[in-house]
Amino acid sequence: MGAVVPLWPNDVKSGLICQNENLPLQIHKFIKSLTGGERYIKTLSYPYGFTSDRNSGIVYLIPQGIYKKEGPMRMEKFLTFVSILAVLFLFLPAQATRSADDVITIGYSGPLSGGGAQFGQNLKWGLELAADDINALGGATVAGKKYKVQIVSMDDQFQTALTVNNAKRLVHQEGARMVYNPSSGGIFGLMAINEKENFIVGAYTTNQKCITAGNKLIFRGPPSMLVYVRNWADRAMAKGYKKCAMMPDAYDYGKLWSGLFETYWKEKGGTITTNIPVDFMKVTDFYPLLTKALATQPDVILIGSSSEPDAMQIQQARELGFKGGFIIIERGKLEEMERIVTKMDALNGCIGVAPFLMYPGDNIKKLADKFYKKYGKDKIITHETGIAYANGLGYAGSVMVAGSTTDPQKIMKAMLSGEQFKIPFMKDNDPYYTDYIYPNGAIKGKIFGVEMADGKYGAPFPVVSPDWVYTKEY
Amino acid sequence: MGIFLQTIINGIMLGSIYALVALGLTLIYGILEIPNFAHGALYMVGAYISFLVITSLGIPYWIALVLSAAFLFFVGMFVERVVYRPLYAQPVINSFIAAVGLILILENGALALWGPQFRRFPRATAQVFQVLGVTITSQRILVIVLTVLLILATHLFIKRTRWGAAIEATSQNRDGAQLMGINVSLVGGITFGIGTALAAVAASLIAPILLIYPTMGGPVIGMAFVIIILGGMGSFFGAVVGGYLIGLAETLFSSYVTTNYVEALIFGILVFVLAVKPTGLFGKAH
Repeated sequence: MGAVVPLWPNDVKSGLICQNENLPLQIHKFIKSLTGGERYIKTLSYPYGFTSDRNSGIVYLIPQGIYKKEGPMRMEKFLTFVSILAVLFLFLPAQATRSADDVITIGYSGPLSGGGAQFGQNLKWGLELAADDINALGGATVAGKKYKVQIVSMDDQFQTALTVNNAKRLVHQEGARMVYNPSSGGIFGLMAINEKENFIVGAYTTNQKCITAGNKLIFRGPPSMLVYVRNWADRAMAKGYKKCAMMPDAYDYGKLWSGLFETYWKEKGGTITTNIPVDFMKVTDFYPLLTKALATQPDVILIGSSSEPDAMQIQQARELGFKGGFIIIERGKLEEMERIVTKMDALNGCIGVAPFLMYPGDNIKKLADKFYKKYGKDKIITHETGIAYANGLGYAGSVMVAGSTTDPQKIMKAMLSGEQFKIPFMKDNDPYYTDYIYPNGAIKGKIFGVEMADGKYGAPFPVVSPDWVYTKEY
Repeated sequence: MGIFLQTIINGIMLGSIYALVALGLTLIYGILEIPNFAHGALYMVGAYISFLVITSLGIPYWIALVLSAAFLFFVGMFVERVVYRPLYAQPVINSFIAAVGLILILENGALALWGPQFRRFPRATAQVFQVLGVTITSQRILVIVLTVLLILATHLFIKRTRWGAAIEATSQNRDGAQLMGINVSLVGGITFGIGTALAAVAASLIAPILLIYPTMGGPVIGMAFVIIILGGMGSFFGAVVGGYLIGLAETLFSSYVTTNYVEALIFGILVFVLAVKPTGLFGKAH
């Protein structure tokens, strides 16, 4: 940099500066003499120490503090300018482009920075792949005209207030008729305004309340939470596990999940030995929490914040000598956990969602190929990407069925008809082979689970559930 | 008994990390009198440097630890020079805002450079030891032992070397030190470097046990601030004792009472100590 020159007593020595003369002027001259005549501006209020010799009347000045050189570069100003630009850049929402008339815009608001960034990114990838596929066919044909699909995404860091602001902007400035969002808080925020502001909420959540609240303009991608709860609990019971220690994530989602689980588990004759909510973002070490959980001698532990922390938790539970199983809340993905644990054996006894690539049918492979080609082999394709992809295709299909790119009411009606599932690009690409949507907007999931034993995956089993799990309020 | 001992070991391990981070923070506060809220973000950078050095250059963990500390030493000096030094004579609020800005730059920089995904140190087969019903891994032993050594080394550095004396003098009386011919500006830079290097070591030590991600500094820095306020702002032993105290309090409370109100407990301890001794456990009245 070189713009700031500190002066210290040991560098410059003290000197005679004043004898019955104008003190400030003398100080200025003195500084000038020390610094070779260039102009310096003091930046401190009291930059001088004084000491005087009573006999001679000489006052010595001891400069202290910092002097700024007023050079032609004005580095400070330049740096300030650059920093302001940098900060503006950081806060600027992602790729805001104005939509043209011949475009179907899908708005996405999700966490693209902060703790949930990977999760948000996975969903964004899914939507982008759906848009790519439809655009590769020349676009979606609506009322005889071809429309390209574009994704406009904005970061909300899982904050509801930001989600709502983003949605307003996506709808009114970008022309989106559907806003996709992956947090129940954000979705409830959107549900408060979407009927009035006339846009469809694409809900990526397993929370039941989103679809039983009577909102007319909402569809939901993933299955109901209770679908997982019942299937995982049944499997665990069948393996002979009776005593379960719950270590769900400490937020709404984990509380809701573990609450439903506890009820169902007890109904089936199981016991809950302890309930220790885990806030991964505040945990520095899992040992203390695990020590407490294992002291209650459970057969199985319920865990679920997200894949990597789950895997660390499993790894450390094994170190502490735990031999039992794990029930994994669906946010944790075994294919991601594989990369974290020291040995695959650590995952023995895990019950969770089957890795995406183990799903039956060719469409999975097609999507995975496109995914790796676009985003790189080192990335992992997960259900978030798969479901967002299917939802993106489904939405575009519904627009085609509706024959209108601008009327959310018509698009929603078309979507609930289920006709979009019969469009060829949907049938040939949807990794889940979705074929049914409930009248409340819940898409029926075709999910597979898996159990692990001897360091290997078992055969994936289809997750089954009665219809009331999708339609009843609980 | 096994559970009790396990809890104590867990507490010491956690306390070690807290103590190292708090020690760096308290050194910086002692000299510069700025609350360096960006300490946690620098801690995160330290973990990433170790991780990158190990995975891309394939060098052993030990060397990575040293490299990361050395690198962060210079990063610390740079930060002090560029961010904090121009704000010395200005109200503390300016430094505070600068720190928040620095957090944003570092965290978003890490996000842009290294992506949002969790990173995990290469899977070294951690050796697991079982003694008296207590489980401990080799990495955890390393954390505990190295922390003690580093605390001793830092103490000796401050008490036995010329530079240490300059640091202590500057922290006791900045103007006085300056009048004695100490280059307080350079002392500030070096202290900031040392504090940051300690954070880098703490992060590199915990990283194999936990995961690496851009916001990993958050929980640790919050705790470290509680610790240095508890121990007395700027106090060396306050930070060390406070670190172990909070680590043990956290694990004992989680084990025997509840895991839900740990933060309430820790802030409760803080409020109690400040009510009885407003300068903190080892703080001196100004």
